[in-house]
Amino acid sequence: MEKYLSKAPQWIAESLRSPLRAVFILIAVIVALSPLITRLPGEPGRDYINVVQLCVIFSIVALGLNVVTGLTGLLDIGVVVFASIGAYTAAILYDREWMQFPYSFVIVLIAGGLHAAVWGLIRGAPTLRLSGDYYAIVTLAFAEIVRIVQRNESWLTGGGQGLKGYPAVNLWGAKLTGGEYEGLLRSDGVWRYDEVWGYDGLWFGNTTEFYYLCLGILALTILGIWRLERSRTGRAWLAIKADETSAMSSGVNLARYKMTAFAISAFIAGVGGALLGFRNNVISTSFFDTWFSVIILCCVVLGGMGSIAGVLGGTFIVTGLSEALRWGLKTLDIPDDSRLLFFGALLVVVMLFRPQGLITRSRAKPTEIPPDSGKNSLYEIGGGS
Amino acid sequence: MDLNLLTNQTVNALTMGGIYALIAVGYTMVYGIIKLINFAHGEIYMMGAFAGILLIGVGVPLYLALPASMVMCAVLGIMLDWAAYKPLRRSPRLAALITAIGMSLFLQNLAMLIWSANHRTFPDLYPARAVQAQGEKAEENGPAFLDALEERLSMPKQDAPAKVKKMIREEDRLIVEFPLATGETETRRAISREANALLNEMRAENPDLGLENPSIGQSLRHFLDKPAVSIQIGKGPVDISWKVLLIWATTAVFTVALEALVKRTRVGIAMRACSLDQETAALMGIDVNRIIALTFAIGSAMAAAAGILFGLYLGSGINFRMGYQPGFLAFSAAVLGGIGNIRGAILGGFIFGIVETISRAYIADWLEISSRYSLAFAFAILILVILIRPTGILGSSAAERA
Repeated sequence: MEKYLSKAPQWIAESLRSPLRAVFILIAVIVALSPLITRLPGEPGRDYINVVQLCVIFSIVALGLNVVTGLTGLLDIGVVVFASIGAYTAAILYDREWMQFPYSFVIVLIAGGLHAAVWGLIRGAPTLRLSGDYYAIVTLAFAEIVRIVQRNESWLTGGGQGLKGYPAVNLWGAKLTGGEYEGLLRSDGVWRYDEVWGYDGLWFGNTTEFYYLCLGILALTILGIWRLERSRTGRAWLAIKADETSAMSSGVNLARYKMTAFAISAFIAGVGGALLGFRNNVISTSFFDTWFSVIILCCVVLGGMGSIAGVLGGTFIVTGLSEALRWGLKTLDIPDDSRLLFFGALLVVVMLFRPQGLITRSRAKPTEIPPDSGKNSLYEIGGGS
Repeated sequence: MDLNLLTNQTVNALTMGGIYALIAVGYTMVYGIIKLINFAHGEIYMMGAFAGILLIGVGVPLYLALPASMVMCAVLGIMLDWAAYKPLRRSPRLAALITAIGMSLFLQNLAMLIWSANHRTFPDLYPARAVQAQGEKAEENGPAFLDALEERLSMPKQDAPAKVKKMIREEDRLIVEFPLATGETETRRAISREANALLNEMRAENPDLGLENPSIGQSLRHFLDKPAVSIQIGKGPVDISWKVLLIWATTAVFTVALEALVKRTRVGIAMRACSLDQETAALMGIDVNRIIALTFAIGSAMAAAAGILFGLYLGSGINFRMGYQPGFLAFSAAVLGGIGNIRGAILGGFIFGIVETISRAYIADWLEISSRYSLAFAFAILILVILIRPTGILGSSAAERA
C-alpha cells in the first residue's frame, strides 16, 4: 500500500497532463463530494444524489461483468442472476434474528457475494468449452430459468410482488438505510421504466453514510480489479480473450482461470446486487429481469470493454443519459413515456459513431492489432474499426 | 390419460410451433448471413401483429391484410438493417449487438407511444356478437325475449341502436353486427344495457320469467371461426377450426417456399454463398449488401405473418412487449435446430411449441409446480442441447462452433 501512496503525487502530476485522466479525476472528486450537494435545498439535489448513487452501485455490478466479458472475452448476458441472488441472499439473511450484531451488514454482503459466486461456478463448470455466441445464449437462458424460479417460489422471494419491507440497516450503530417504503414497483409487479433509475425524488431513506459505504466498496472493487489485471491471473484472462488455443498452448490452464473469472465476476456482481437491494428497499424479479443484464452490458460495452475507466464512464453515461433525457424531455414538453425511445435511438447512434466504445483499453493500442482482427477477435472492442 | 385433452394440446402445440418456426426462420437467416443475434426481430413480429390489427380493423380482408403487413414489415426490416447494422459491417460484432438492443428498445417504445401500453384484442373477422337467452326457462321464454330485444335495438333511439349495423334473428339466438368503427366493447355494453332494461320490464309483467342476463358471445359466423374438423375423442369432440387449418397451411406454404427459394433459385445460391464467405461472394459478382437486405426482408415478412397468425389464433395479448418472449423462444428454437439452418429452425420451432405446451399441460402437474415453469423447461432443454451438441440438431461443422 505504501508503495502506491509514495507514487501518488507523481501519478497525479502525470494524470493532469492527460486530458482524459484529468476529466476522470474531476468526476471522481465530484462523485466523492456528491452528498454535500444534497444539502442544497429543493428537488434537484435529491434527484441528483439518487442518480449518482445508482451510478455507483451499477458501476460495481458492471465491473463484475467486465471481468468475464471485458477481460476474459466471454459475452455474458445474464449478470442479473448474480445481482439478484446476491440481493435476495443478503436481504433474507439480514432479516434473521441471529444476524443482529454490529458488523452483520458486512457479513451479509459477503455472504450474498459468495452465494452468487457459487452459482457462477455452477453455471461456469459445464460451459467451459463454450465460446462466442453459444456461451452468451447459455447465460441468457440460465438467467431466464433463475428468474422464473425466483418469480414462482414466492415463499422465499416474495414472487412478483417482490421482497419488501427491508430491515433498517445498521453498521456499528450508524444508520445506513431504512426509510419508509415509497415504492419502486407498482403493486401489480410491473417494472415501471420511469422509476427504475430512482426517480421521483426518492432518497429511499438512505443516508450519506450508506452512500460512502457504496463508494468505498466501489473503490475496493476498482483497486482489486486493477491489481488482478496486472497479475498472473489477469494476463491469463487476456490471453484467453485473445485466443483460447494459443493461451492453452502457452501453458495457461483454461479451466482454472475461467473458473476464477466466473467466481470473481459473480462475487462482485452479487455484492453490487445486494447493495442495490438495500438501496431500493425492495427486490423483485420485475426489476431483476433480462433488461437489467442488457443495460449493464450496455454500460460495459458503450464505455469500452476491458478498461476500468471505460466501464465506469459507460455506466455513468448510460445511467446519466437516461436522466438527462428525462430533464431534456420535460423542458421540451415531450411526454416522459418517450424517454426509452430516445434512449434506444441514442444507443444506436453512439454505437454507430464509436463502435469500439467510448474509451478503449490503453493496452490494446490500434497498432498492436493485426488489420484482420475484426474477424478473429469477435468481442475485442478495442480492435477493429 | 385424458385423450381429449391430449389431442387439444397437440393441436395447440402444432399451431404455436408453426408460429415459432416462422419467427425462428428470420433469426436463423440473419444469423447465418451476418452472424448477428437480431434482438429487434421479436419487435418486428410485434409490429406485424399491430399492422394486422390496423388493416383488419379498417375492413381490409384477411387475404389482403396478411401480405400487406408482410410487405410493411419487410420494408421495416430493410430499414432496420440499413440504419443500425449496415454501417457496422466492418466493426466488432458486439457493436452491432448493442445497436440491435437499442433498436429493440426503440421499436418497443415506439409501439407503446403509438398504441399505448394496454393489451389489445385482435379484431373479429366478422364483427358481430351472438346474444343467447339464459336461465331456467330459456327455451320457453327465450324466443320472446330475443324478439323483443331485436325490436328494441332496432328502434331509433339516442345512442345504443345507432351502433348496431344489422341484426340476424336465428332460431335460438340474435346476432348483432356492429360497424367496425364502433368496436366490440361499446356494442357489447349497449346490448347488455338494453337487455337488462328489457328484462326488468318483462319481469315486472311476469314475475316467473326464469331468464337471467343473456350470454353475449362470439357469433362464429365467419367461416374461419367455424370448426372444420370435429373428432370424437375421449369425453367429447375436439374441434379444429378453419383458423387453425389456415395457420398450419400458411406455415407449411411459407416454409416450403422459403426452402425452395434458398435451395433452388439464383438468389438462394447467392444467399448461401454470402453466408459462407462474404468477400469471396462479392468477388464472384454478388451484391452482398442487397442479399443481406433481402434476407432481412424475407425474415421480417415471415415474422409479420407469424404476428398476424398469432393474433388470429389467440385473439388477444397483443401489446408492445409481446415480441420479447416468442422472440426469445424462437431464437432458442433456431439454436436448437442448428443456427443458420432453415430446416433446423422450423424443426426447432415445432419442438419448442410441443415442449412449451406439454410442460404446461402435464409436467407441471406431475411435479406439482406452477405451470409458469413451462418456459424454464424450454430453456433447460436449450442449455442441454448447447452443452451436448452445440451445433444443434441439424447443424454441421462442429469444430468451429463448439
